[in-house]
Amino acid sequence: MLDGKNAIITGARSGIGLAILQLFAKNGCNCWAVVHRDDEEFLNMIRQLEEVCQVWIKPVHIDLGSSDSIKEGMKDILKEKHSIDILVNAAGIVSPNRLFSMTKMEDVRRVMEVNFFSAIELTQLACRAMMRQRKGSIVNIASIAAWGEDTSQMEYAASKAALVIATKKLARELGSAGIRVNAVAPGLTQTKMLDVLENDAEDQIKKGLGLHRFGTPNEIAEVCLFLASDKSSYVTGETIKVDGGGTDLRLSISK
Amino acid sequence: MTNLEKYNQVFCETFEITNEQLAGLKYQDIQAWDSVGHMSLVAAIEDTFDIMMETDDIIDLSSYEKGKEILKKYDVEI
Repeated sequence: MLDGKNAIITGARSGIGLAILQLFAKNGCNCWAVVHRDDEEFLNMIRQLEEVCQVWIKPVHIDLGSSDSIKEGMKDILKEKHSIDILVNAAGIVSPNRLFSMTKMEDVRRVMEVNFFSAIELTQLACRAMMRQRKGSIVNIASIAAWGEDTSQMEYAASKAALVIATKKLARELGSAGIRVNAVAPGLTQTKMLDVLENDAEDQIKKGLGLHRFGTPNEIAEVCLFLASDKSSYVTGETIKVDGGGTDLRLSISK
Repeated sequence: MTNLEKYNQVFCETFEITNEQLAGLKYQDIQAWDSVGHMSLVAAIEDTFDIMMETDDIIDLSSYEKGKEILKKYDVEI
């Protein structure tokens, strides 16, 4: 579905970002895998993926909490003179789960930096190249937390809500340049972020979901693939919930 | 090709205009130099001179002449 296209994927080392990297590669897409740091295991996985899928995958080291690091990383990407067809802003962090009254402002800022501002800055830099091509697709990984109905931390939910609104606004501005901007809002997905759940809470939450189970990173990646590809050529400004029909998330997910 | 020739070529190709139209040309003087055209121009300048412009400079790039001044900051003499 993405033969010959080139994509920048943030948060590519684990969870949903990694699933997107793997699925895009399997669909013929070359990838810049944006990671804060890598290790031998990750590099080996990339090499195998390159060989099996006949694509190139290049790790790019960026600290998404630093504007200077983002600019440097993008400079390196742009120097390669490949087209940038797709940007997936998948990186996200959560701060320790605690009451707002007990949350440090530096934690709030860090979450907003990584989850929102870095995505916006990368979008601004990448879309310059996309404008020249008169084509591009940007996919933001939001969250159902954006609707404020679960018990995730305020700053996490706020950062994802900002991403949902930014998706809508950017789609309107960038549409005339042929760039589509969409988002995917995963529900509870089997990643390390769920480590905070106790077994009892996990079972209770699953019962409240339409499909009675959590999603897998690959199920989120499949929707990203659709939005990144030309199959969704008339879709922009949308946020697609991928949450297994779950709506009752008012149960506590804190330990 | 000199830097001036490259600079002129970027404008001419981006906005589909001729060299004769360049002197005095300002943002929104012609239909092609709208906000989307502006970003295409920035992308083309960055690509041609292998630089990454700061957002402030992108905003300040209000005319053909102003662009020459801005490029000096990036060690590109026109």
